[in-house]
Amino acid sequence: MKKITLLLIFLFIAIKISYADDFIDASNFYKNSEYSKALEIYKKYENSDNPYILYNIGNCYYKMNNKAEALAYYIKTFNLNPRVSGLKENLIKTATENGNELFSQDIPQILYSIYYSMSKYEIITFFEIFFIALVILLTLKLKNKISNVNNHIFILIIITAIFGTWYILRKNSVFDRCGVIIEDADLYSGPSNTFQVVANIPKGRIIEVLSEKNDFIEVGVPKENIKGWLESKNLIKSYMEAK
Amino acid sequence: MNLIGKIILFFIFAINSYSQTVVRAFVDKQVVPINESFNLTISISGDNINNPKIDISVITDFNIYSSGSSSNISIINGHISTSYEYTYTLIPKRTGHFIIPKIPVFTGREKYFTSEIPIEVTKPNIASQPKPQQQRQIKPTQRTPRKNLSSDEMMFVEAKLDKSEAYQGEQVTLSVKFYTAVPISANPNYLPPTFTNFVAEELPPIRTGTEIINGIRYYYAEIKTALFPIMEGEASISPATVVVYTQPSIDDIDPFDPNFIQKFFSQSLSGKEVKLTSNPIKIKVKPLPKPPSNFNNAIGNFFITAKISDKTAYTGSAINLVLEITGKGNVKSIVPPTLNLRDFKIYDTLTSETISKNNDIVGGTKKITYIISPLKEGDLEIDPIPFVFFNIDTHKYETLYTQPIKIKVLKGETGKSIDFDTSKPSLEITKKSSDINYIYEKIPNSFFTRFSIYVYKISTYLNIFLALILVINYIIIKRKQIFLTNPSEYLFKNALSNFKHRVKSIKTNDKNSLAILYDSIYDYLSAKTGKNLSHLTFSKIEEEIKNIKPNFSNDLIKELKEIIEKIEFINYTKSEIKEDELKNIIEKSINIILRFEKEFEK
Repeated sequence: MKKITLLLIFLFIAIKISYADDFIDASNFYKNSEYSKALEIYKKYENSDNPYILYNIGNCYYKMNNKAEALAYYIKTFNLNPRVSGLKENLIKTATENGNELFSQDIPQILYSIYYSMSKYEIITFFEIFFIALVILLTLKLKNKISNVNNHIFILIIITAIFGTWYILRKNSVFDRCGVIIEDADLYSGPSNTFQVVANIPKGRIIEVLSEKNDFIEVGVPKENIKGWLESKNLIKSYMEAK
Repeated sequence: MNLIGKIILFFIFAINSYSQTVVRAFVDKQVVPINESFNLTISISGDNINNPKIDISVITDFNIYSSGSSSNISIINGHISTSYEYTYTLIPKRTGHFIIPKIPVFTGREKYFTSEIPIEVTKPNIASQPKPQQQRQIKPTQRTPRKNLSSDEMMFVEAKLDKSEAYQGEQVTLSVKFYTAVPISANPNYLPPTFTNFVAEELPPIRTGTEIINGIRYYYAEIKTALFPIMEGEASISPATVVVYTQPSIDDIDPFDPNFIQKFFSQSLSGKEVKLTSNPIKIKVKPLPKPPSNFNNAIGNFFITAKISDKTAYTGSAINLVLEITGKGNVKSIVPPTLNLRDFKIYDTLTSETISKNNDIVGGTKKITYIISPLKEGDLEIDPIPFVFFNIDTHKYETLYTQPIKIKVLKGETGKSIDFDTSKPSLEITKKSSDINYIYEKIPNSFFTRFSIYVYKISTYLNIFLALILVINYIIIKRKQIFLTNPSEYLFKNALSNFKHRVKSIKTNDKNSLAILYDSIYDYLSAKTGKNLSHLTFSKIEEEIKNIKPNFSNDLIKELKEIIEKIEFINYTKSEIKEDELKNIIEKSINIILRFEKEFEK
């Protein structure tokens, strides 16, 4: 058992070191303006759910002048951790350069800051933590194991309700189920290219993903208030799919 | 505006601009004995002058020493004019008629020239000949210079510092002394040393006197320079050079002759040229202790005062807030304190200095003028302004505060503003382009993000589970509430389930199994009748049952009575009971109670 534990620790450290080496190589490539090589390395770890890797991928795409892909990765990063330093500036800059307006100037920016201070994953995590604490407290009180916790229960109910409401609101964010058009795409009235083309969406536009059918995705374009179907190859989804 | 109007305006502007800067040079005397010095003052005044540069090196017939400078700023109706005054001490090198040439002055925009000044250098004035200032060593047998003196003994140059180490910005005084025991044919030509890691400030006038060293009496001339180390580490002074012309025959003039100076300075330059150099010097520069955040780069010993131009003002009008920092130290390097005024807008900051060199200590006054404007009316107050300096005497940072200043502000005309053209270079940052922020070279761990994604994935199941627990809790609470509001009804309803629950727990090999069964039956009956029947006889129990249900089956009551009596008998006789028989009794009891329940439900 002891040997197995030691072996596991050794393996963990070895993997960590190899990751670190890769990232040093990638940052050196980036420094030397060899963005495609840096991108290749970062892409290997794309599925590790690490927002900083996604941010770096976005930067590589931006430097390679693939601004639509860059925007898609910045949104992915934003969905995982909106507090990544430097992300918001890059996101706004890239979105603007792609013809999108993310944060309306009519709304006080402090509200955006509060609304986007956590990702929906973090909000649901806090919701669950407080919900579990509430259930435990209620059960213990019921079994007469603890007393005088009415105030605590009340506070927990309030906090849980706040996180629950926040989560519901956050789910309706423009970033929640969105994608970025990476090639100028025709928007069809049905899930096949035999249907009528109702619009053409330019590269770099942020759209809302509504449903999927075979190789077609039903999307909504909030700015123009239109919806239709486009080929999935024209889009990068900026959210985590399988739940 | 027509063309003529524009031309007239242009000329008015041109004349006005021309008249704005005045450069002047003047001396305190134009006839000077060779053994005396005189002062040359260059004054520059006008608009938009910023640190004028004076090329004093054009004067070659005199030894020149800077003896101070001052600057002054005046603001009248928003119009700023500046004046600078630089004073130099000039020492003639030889007798005759000389001209101080046109001295070029560069004001930052244009080059100006002073006018020429004729100077006559006469033979020495005996009455004003300096008396010996000090005697380092007096020996009973004093030698007079003679031919047997070596050349090193006859004349030499010595450079000394008053300190071997100093803090950054602390004054160190360099003394370069030229000694001669033999007559020279003209005033020596002094080539000052070069300074590394120092800011230098000359300390005129030249001091002269006699000193006796090793029994030899010397005539000396001393030049002092104040030095301010710039950076920590080492600072150095290269050798100073003095060029002298010795008398062709030194026997002819004895330096200790009462008329030595007269004879000495009236000689022509026909003597032999001798170059003398001093020793190079190095000094250790200590760093200042870690300064406080609002340190004003002032090193020395100072005091501060503050005053305003008007005690009563109008909103939007301009007032001068003047800070005067006076003391010893390099006042030029003082950084104006940053003001934090709540009720005033600060337009500009102007500085001027007056340098003094009293007793060879460089000091002076830095005058900082802030142009401020009240933002609101009422009785306002300018809070004490802090000034932080490094006290060179105590070797500690000290903070001085000005007195608070009260000012009465009346409502002024709206929309009125005054512009101050200070012609300072623009310090605004010009944005040239924008780029994305840099990548993360080291990828931070994102444990919480991964954890939150995991929680998100299982959140549906987790919520169902937690909701179920809540529902169960709710049911339990409800039941508890019912029990608390009507316990007899609760017991009545749950009598059968409680009975079954207890009977289920009976183990056939347990000695107390019959007792448990007995208690369970009585508890059931108590719950149904709403009375504690455990201490009553069966006839009383029958009576209670009949009270609730008059039509209750008598046969069923009889059957229950039989089984109770059987249990009581076995318990009373303490006889052994077989496992099968016990099982039979239990099953029979359950059967009877189930039938009892049906009877109660009727």
